[in-house]
Amino acid sequence: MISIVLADDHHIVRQGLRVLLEGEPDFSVVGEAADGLATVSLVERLRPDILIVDIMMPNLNGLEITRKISELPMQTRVIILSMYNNESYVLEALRNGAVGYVLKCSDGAHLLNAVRAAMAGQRYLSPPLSIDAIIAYEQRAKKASVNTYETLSNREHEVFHLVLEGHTNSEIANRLFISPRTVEIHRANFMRKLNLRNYPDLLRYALERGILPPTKDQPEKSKKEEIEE
Amino acid sequence: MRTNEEFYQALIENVSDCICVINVDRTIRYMNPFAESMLGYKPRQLIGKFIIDFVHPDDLQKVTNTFNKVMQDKSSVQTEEIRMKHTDGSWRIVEWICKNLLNTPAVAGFICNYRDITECKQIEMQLQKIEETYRMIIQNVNEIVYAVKFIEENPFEGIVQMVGDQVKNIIGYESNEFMEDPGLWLRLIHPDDLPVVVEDTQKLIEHREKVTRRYRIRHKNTGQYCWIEDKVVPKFDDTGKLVNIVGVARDITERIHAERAHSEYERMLSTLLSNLPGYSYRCKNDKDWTLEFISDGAFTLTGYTIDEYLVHRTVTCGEKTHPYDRDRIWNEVQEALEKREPFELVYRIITRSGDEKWVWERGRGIYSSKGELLYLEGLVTDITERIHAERDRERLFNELNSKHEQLQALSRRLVEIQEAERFHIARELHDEIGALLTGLKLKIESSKRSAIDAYTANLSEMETLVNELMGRVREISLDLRPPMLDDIGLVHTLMWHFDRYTNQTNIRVHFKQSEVERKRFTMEVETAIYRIIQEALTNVARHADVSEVTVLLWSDQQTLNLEIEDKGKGFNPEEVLASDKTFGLIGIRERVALLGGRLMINSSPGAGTYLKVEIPMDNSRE
Repeated sequence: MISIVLADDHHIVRQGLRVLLEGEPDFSVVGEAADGLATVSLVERLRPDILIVDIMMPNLNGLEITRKISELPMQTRVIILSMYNNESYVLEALRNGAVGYVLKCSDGAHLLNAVRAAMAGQRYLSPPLSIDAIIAYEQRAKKASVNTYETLSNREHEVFHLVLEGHTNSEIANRLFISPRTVEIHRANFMRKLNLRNYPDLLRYALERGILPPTKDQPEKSKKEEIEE
Repeated sequence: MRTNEEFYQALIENVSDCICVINVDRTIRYMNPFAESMLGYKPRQLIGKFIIDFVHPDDLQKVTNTFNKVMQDKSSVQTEEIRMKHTDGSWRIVEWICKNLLNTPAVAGFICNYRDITECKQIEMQLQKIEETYRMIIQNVNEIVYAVKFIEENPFEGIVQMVGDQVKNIIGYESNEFMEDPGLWLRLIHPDDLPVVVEDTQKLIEHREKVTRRYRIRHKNTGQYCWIEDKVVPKFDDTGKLVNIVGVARDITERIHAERAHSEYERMLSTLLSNLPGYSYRCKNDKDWTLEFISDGAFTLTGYTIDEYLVHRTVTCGEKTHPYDRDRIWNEVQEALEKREPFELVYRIITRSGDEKWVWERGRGIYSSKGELLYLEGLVTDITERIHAERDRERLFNELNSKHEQLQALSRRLVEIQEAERFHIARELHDEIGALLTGLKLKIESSKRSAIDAYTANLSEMETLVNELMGRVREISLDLRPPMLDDIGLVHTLMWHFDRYTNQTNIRVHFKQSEVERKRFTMEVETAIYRIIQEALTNVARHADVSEVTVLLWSDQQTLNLEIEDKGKGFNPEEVLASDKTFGLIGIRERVALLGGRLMINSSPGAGTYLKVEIPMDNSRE
């Protein structure tokens, strides 16, 4: 027998789901909850094989419930039931430890499939969701996530490198055809962005990230700059 | 022997002293010629006469007493001052010396010699009178007159010869107290004044000239000090040696107090003037306002020294008033003078450093007894700060007003947006959901009447309708507020939003974030950032005419930072903010301001748009 707890804040939805699930001879709905916090305590008490939880729940949403339960020393597997087909939700659900993500608009059979997959130790996403799409999305999110160095504007990059090479503000100003005051502003900006306080900090930061360009020789003027700091 | 007798005879007959021998019965046995002539008689005229016949009746007793005394004590000599009658009827005063020589056989009588001291006596009496006069004067003047015999070894405690009785009135001591105690005077002097008194006195001794000493001296009874002015004159003897010091001291306490009061009053007045944020003046009624007097405050106010105004005449009041105010000042003053009224002015001056200051002036004309205008007098005060404060107030008031108007516009806009939103939702519900529901209802009704095979077909159509319905509901709910903003966080909501945005507008969004994805911020911050980006991207789609836009989001220790940049048409931010019809930018500005953040918009027509937002992050949640 596969024991199941249902969590949804709408009674009629739970009723529909119960009818659907108990149509399977080896499925048994052992409990229902209409509130996020109640769901967690109910699962803790009943220790079911499967929790089917709606993503929209009062007090604690489905994603949070999933995270909490997957942190508990239990075998209960969580299947998220959701109205949202956004990859971000699916990704978050999977990250939080859900094994299934079923859209509310999909055929009832997908929910049954999800339960069986979960029991077999597999992940299940109802169509049109696919693991590939989720992975692609995750890649996109990763690509958007950069280290702070890459948030520097082009000008800030230029000034960063020239400072790194040991040029003074006025030299940089001459080279970039901007005023020393503007150089000063760019410099203050990237120092703040990168949380650096002085030239040695900057040097360490660059070395750690391999940013130091393959320049000719070590900058001589850095000492002077350092004093100015 | 004979010769010897003659010698004495001649001697006695010719001395200028009166000598007579009187018998026991008081008759005159012998009287030398000088004695007789002293009383106006010729020689030998008085021999055998009774001496007492020539004595003043009041002095008879004295003469009798003299004889009695020398009778009793035969070796004694008696001296008496008596009056004797002259032949001209006048009385001569004589000093009479009598000796008993009855037991000397050669004489056997009383020897009396006497001399005329009438002249002496008269002088003495005159002197006494003069002295009395002086004494009277000395006792009746207000000054203490005193004389001290100078003693070189102890120049400050000589022998006090005389002190006027006034000393009692002034300091309560009797004059004899000073005579008996030469050190008393010095001890009564106020300790603070003692050095000066000592110095002045030494000056008197060394330079041998009179000095005036001023010091306080203690009253015997009250213990209070009174001020004394003490004029001291040194007196020298024939050899030039300082013998005594004569002084006149008087009580000047009241005068000192009056002087003090006066200088106090002057000081107060000058303090008052110098503390005035301005100056007083007296000037001629000409275009230069040629000065006759100007108080110290002018330097503080104008930066020009009093000498520059009054001595060198390098600067005038007229030329230092603001050019715009000059004619007005002149006219207002002349008008007031015509009516003989005081004038009040507010105008600007140019200080030495070139600054402009606001001053307030009140003055009036001063007229001669004949009624002709002599000069103007008045007071000028710095009111720059007041004027500035007034201006600030005015500016703040205007700012407040415009803020208020903005607020009103915003709340009007809020109501409008709310209405538009409701209208939009109502239309969605009616047009989209309503239509689908109607379709569903029709299907259900037709199913009731249809055959079993058609029923199945209807059922699958109905399912399609329900799915569409669910999709529409989800869309509407996402439009209103994406739930993932609360459920998952800013970055994924933005990614979802950018996808939709690109689908709808064909504008690609280059999105980069750093240190934001795994962080959660307060709901206010996340909502604000989401709405700001939404609004900014809407603007880009509407106005920029570009195919891509860059969105940069990063957080550091202190701030959450957002940069949105496009290379599109650009605009003039000031103009747009002033007349933003859609309230897009104003909405952004208000959201940033609510969170205490900073907004920077760099844009100009043709140069793209760069928008930067910084939100302080002291309230982030992990």
